[in-house]
Amino acid sequence: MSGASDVAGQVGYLRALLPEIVLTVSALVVLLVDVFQRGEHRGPSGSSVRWLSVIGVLLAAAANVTLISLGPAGPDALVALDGFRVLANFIILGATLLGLLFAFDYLKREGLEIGEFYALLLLASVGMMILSGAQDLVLIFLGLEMMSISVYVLTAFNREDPRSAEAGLKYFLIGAFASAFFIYGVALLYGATGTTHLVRMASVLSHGHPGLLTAGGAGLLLIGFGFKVSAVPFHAWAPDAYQGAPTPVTGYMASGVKAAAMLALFRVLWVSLGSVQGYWHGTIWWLAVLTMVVPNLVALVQDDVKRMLAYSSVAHAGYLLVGVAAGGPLGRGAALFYLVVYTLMTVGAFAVVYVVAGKGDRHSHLADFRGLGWRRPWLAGALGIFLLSLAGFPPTGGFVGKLYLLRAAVGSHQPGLAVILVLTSLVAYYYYLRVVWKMYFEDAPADVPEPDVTGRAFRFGAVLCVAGILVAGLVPGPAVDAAGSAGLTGASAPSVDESVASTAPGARQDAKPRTHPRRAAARAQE
Amino acid sequence: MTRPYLGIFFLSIVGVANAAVMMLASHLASPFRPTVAKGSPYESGMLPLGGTRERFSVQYYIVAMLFIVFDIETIFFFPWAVIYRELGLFGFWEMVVFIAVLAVGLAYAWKKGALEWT
Repeated sequence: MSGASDVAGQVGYLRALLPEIVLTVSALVVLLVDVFQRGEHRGPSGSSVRWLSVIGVLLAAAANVTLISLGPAGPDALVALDGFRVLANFIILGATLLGLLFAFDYLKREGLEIGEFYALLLLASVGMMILSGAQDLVLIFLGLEMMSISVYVLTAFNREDPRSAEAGLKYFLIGAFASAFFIYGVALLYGATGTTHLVRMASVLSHGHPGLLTAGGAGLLLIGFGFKVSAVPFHAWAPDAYQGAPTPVTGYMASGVKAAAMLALFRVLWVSLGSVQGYWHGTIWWLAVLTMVVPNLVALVQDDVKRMLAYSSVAHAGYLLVGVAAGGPLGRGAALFYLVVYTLMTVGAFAVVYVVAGKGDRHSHLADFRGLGWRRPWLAGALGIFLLSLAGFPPTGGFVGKLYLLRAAVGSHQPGLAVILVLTSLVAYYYYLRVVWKMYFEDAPADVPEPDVTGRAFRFGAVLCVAGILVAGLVPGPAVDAAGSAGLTGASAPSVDESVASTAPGARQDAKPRTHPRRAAARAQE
Repeated sequence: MTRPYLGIFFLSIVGVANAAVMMLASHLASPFRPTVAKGSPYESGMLPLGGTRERFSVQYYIVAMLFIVFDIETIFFFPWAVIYRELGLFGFWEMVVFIAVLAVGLAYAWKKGALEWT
């Protein structure tokens, strides 16, 4: 029997998939512990499930650390084993941990302390990790669905609240629609290349003559991803879903879901479709521009802070798309670094909003933030830092992240993107600073409701977010280096980065027949 | 490149044309004599007893979902059993993991009282 050696080989696979396995097992444990504690009883879950889920995330992060020392997984592996995946996993686990910490207070206040919440959150994170790490379109689709189905349920989790139910239904219908686009694109690409594996697809495409089928497949794939990362014009669901969902879930959706989908988009485009940039680079360019311009303008007139933040997170998808459009090690590092900072500031900002909004999320209007700086200095200080970072002020991480994205855009000879990024960021100052103004320079009326007292987990999470943002802003070196050196399996081919192209012998001739992004962008501009 | 699919294209045209011709022909050639019995929704079935917009117990859906889950489990068993010897120990443990995850789901549903009909 070849069984014995077979299993020895499988142990290596188990090690390479350890974070996902650990998190899946902890989700199942949480589910079982909760159901055996409560049975059919409908009351709140005990505190053990909370801590079990936090421990599960921490164990998965520890398992993720062990991935760093493992070698590359070989070109045929279905799940990549590269720095890109490791960093993506850290971002996703970080978003999950913060989502958990911020959820405790909220669930208690709204009477939603149900163990399934934690299990779903963990399972969604497993889906995200598979989505951003997989090297095969079918597996990417599985990860996408695992993530999406869990998040649909989480969005509608407060089913007594019609807004939450509406948000869940909208997100579900549009998400299912987007999945159909995605899987159709996978089918067409399979028809064109005979494989769903990203690396093999890349080699087929770089040798053969890609035709209409490839273009159609790439286009449908882009539409599917566009919905998931809420890129304009596929963003219409996002503000409603973000506003209606329970607020900690909104933070988690805006950070984790977006990060995973954005990184998977990066991997798919630059690994499998890197040699046919002419088919998609102009589209990504326009998606990035539209996603930066439209939501920033719409956010200017939002009087509800939660909805304003929802539009802001759509706009940040546009900034991230600049990193995707830039590609190469520079764009990769910029997108990863920005996602780290973005996760910290977005999850944190939504968390402070739910504290201020009070029971039932009733008071998230701009006027409810008047005088917050004097009533609750710590809370307002944290929100102020999150908003300044979202706006991109030094010395916060948001500033360094934007700088890095600008460098990637300029480095890939797309100054147009850089200019639009700067201009839209300037426009965004208005709506971020308006909240800061209300908090510090306007007096609270006498009848304004007092925000809740925050629990220990919340304060710990907020301190983590603020500290992370400030560290990323003041000493960005280590994080920038880690993000910049994160390797991406199979992305050695056409790099936009000139230095790489010129140092690799033969790379110049290799890169010539392909459409240069600058030319693609120029064509798009005409 | 599109050569191999040409047959499918013609087949679909023939299929659509065939159905259209048959429907058209029966529409043109058939006599039209409606009676009360012919006009009833189920000509040779039971008469409808009430509206269709009735509310069902949500338990129907839970039972149906559980049925589908375990139905699909058995469907997965068949191809696995066919190539069990080729898969070796790896296949065995894969299936153990699969069943373990499903068992957790079953334990959850059982404990939640989804299997009891009240």
